[in-house]
Amino acid sequence: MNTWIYKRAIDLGRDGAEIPATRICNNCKYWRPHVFYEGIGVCTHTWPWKMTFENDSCEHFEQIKIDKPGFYWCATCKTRVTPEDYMEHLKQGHRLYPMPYLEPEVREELYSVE
Amino acid sequence: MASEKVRYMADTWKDWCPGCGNYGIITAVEMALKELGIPPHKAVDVGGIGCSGKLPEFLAINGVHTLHGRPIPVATGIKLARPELTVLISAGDGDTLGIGAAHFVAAGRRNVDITLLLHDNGVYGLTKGQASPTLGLFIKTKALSKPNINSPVNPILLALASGYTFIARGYAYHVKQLKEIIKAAIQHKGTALVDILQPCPTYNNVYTKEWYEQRIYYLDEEENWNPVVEKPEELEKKMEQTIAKALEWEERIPLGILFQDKTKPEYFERLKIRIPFIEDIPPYKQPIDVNGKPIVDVAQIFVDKLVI
Amino acid sequence: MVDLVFEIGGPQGGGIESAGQMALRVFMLKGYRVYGTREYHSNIIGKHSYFNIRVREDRALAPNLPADIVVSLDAESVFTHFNDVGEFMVYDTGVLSKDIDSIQSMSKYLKARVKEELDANGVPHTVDGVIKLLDKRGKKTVGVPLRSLLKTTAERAGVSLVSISRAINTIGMAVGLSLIGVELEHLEKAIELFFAGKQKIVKPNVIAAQVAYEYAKENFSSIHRKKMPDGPHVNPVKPRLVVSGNDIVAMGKIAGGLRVQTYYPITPAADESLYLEKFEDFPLTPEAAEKLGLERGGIVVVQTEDEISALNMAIGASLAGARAATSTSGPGVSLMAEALGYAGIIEAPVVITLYMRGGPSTGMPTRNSQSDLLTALFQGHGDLPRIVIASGDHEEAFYDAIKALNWAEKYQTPVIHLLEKAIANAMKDLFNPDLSSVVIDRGKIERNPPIPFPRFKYTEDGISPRAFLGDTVVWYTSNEHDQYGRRNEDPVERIKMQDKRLKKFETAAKEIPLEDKVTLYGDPDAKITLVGWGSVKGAALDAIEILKEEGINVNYLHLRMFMPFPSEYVRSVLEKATTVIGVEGNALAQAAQVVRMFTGFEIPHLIIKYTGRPIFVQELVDSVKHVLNTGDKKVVLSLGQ
Repeated sequence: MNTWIYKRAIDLGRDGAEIPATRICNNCKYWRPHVFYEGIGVCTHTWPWKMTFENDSCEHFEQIKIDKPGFYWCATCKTRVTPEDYMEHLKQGHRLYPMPYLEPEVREELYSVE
Repeated sequence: MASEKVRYMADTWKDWCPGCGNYGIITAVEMALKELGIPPHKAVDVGGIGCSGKLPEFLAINGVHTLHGRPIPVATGIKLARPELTVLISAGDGDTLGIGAAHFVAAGRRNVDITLLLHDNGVYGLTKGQASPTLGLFIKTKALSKPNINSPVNPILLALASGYTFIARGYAYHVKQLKEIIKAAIQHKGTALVDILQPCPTYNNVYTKEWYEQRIYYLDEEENWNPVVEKPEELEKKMEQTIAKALEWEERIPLGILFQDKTKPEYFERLKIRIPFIEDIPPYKQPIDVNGKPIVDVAQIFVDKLVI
Repeated sequence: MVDLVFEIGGPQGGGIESAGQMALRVFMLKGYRVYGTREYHSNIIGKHSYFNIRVREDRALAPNLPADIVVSLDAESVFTHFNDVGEFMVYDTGVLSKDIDSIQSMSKYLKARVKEELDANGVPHTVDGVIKLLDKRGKKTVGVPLRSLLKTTAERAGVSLVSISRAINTIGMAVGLSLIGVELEHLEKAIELFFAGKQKIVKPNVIAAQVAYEYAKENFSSIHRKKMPDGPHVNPVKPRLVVSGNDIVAMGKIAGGLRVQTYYPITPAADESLYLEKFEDFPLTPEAAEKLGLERGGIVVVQTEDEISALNMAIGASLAGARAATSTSGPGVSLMAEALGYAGIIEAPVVITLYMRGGPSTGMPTRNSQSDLLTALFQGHGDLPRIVIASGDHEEAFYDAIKALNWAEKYQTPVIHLLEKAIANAMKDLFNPDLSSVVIDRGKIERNPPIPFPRFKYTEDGISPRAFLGDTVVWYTSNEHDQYGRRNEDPVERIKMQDKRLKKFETAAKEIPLEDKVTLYGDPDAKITLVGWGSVKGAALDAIEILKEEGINVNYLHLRMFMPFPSEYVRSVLEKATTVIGVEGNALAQAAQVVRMFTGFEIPHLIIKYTGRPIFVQELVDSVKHVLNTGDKKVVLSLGQ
């Protein structure tokens, strides 16, 4: 089911970075991808959380498992997916996470919009 | 400025129907203000649209007759600008619970020190007696061609839910008792509701003088009735007893003070957290110029926008 | 002469706002005037937004395209803005392979148009394809590995990067600034200014800027512009501020003595009230404090339950003697219609600041329009004159906000102060406003009034002395009334009272000076006249300059006061011209209709825009030339995303 993870890891050759197999943040259960910017996220293993890149790795790595129905964050579609349709996203090779990383001070960047 | 004989009632001819409950209400208002020694120029009556809204016209205190449903915001604005004034609202059940219900709720949330005299007669008198928000379900007055198919709203419960800190009920023809209730409402620091049961002899032949007088009784005649919340921990219990009383209607109708919360800060107490001097120097009192020149410097205030 | 456009785009919430704010400060520190237009969707987070910053020496009052430089922080920005590029496109190399169809946040209509254009040029639907197209067009495309620069920044900062968006944006913006020859020190100063008091954010951002500058120096020295010259205001004598239209109106209201502001949250008005709230307890000048024996002033800002309450509450406050105002936009002012009439009949001084946005109904809440002019003039039932003033830029908005408060009290009437999203949300540099010429005029107030008080006394100029509730006994009623404010329907008195109310506006028309109502810019003898109002001013002033350089002599008649309308003057200017072109931001050409109503003059040519975007300078220049060449009666503008 998680072939998408491996495939993504191979795709990560941007900016000339080395790919250390699949034990990378992108596949780690402690990682939250940045809500807007690709390839960047936050490691939630220890507080204070740390910014890392999707192809970083460390000794705390634990494989992410998306095997139960739930409300996941689809980093490909940049939206929440429901328990009903999360599998469809996985099948299409989308990257799912329990949560994205949204900066706590994001409101300082926002507008009155309605 | 004070004239020798202080008058609260204007010379205007009162054009209410004969037997209208408003004659009782206006007399109670006059007596309350007189007994509290509030000079006419320091009191304001803010009226809505309808028979109730004519009160300001027949009183000799400051009078602001407004739009249908809008006396609460206007009264709030007056009080915020000049808190030394005693601000009363004379409005009907259509005004406050129909077209202006949003303001009725918001008033409770703010707890500005104003007194709302709700003229509760169950009908829209000036437009030929349509059912108003307090007319009971399936009641058919003579003015209605068919029974009312809307359920009534309970002003006491709505006020309680909205955070009113003083809730009382009076009866238009019991002028002396009503006067006492109005006095207590005025003296309460916060938003006060007096739901005044008022027969409309022209259009409401169901809630008549006789109908009311067979049912009404005064809470202060009951043993151990104490509606006052002195400490926050009493709130739940007091609200429960108020709810129970508010639900009485068909057999017996309680009058008097149903609820009073002395623990909740009035609006200016809340504003003082933001502008410490605002109660002492409220908006109307603040100078805005010196000899016609502004008294502020933009770059001195809005320092966050400076680029230097 | 420097006339530069710097555009930066990315996801809403992704640091575009602070990037734009910092860039504005950079160019100000560099000595220039700036104008920053923000465009964003009715969405909290994630859709595309951008900042268009115009930089000039003498006057920056309108956005322009093409942009000298477009900084795209994400793929969507590349697809959205590649046609805006004048010289440079800065993009993230990390998104080169991104296909347009994979961007969920992007509008399908824009996608379709972009794909069509890419197909026509034989390039793929990827960022890479767009970059190839730009290369073909001779643009300088600048790929930046945002992620590795972010990594360098994180390593060098030695701290965990608290804000990813705010480092990425700084890197992108810094590369852009470096390419056009702005020194790093200005950016460092701008970062400190913008994040004042937030040292945790300042440091990594300064490092991000340094990393970006180093990278640009190493890699793009061949395409780099030479050092940008300093502008004329590099060491200003007066303090300079950078403000939005919302901010400047709030400042004007405080200067003008506002003491009660009511509002219900709505875009694009809410920021004004929020800003007032921030400074609701403010210091008086030392001189005033000494004279008055009072250090501070305070504004009560009330967030009401709805706009109906907002206007009614402001009316109540004004009757009790406080200067009062409310602030809203189209849907809100629609709810205020009844209370507007109420203020009219009881002659309550109250200011309604009306920020126009795309309508009708909810319309386009975050987009510009000038489509509420007819609403401002005619909303409310009955014979109901009011004063309507429209500001054309931030500076006008400041002084108009003060004057509106004066007029409201002087003529005892509601005043509608019209602004629009294009001004409300645009950031503008300003020198600290000069208050020496500003007057606070409260009109006729009776300080020792008799009891009872004839509030509506018949007078020659129609203005009755006012007394505040609490100073005497005053009566008001929404019914027609006599001089004491008592309900009255006597036919003879009705004529007198109605005439008294109308008379006030004849007085206002006479007393308010022409320069507050209308301004003719450019050569008064020019044979071609543009007629516009509001934010059209900025684009029009630039356009007449550009057209003059091309040998076309055009002037611009800037309408400000729509009620009372300066009919004779406007008619005389329009009748003198051989070609008159109306320019405005709505579909009905509302001002043109008003001009015809008040002057009988029918404006024969119209240039209008109702895409919700502001009028860009160059599209106005082009469309004026088009009208002159073709004689077309109507041109509809559509530039900008």
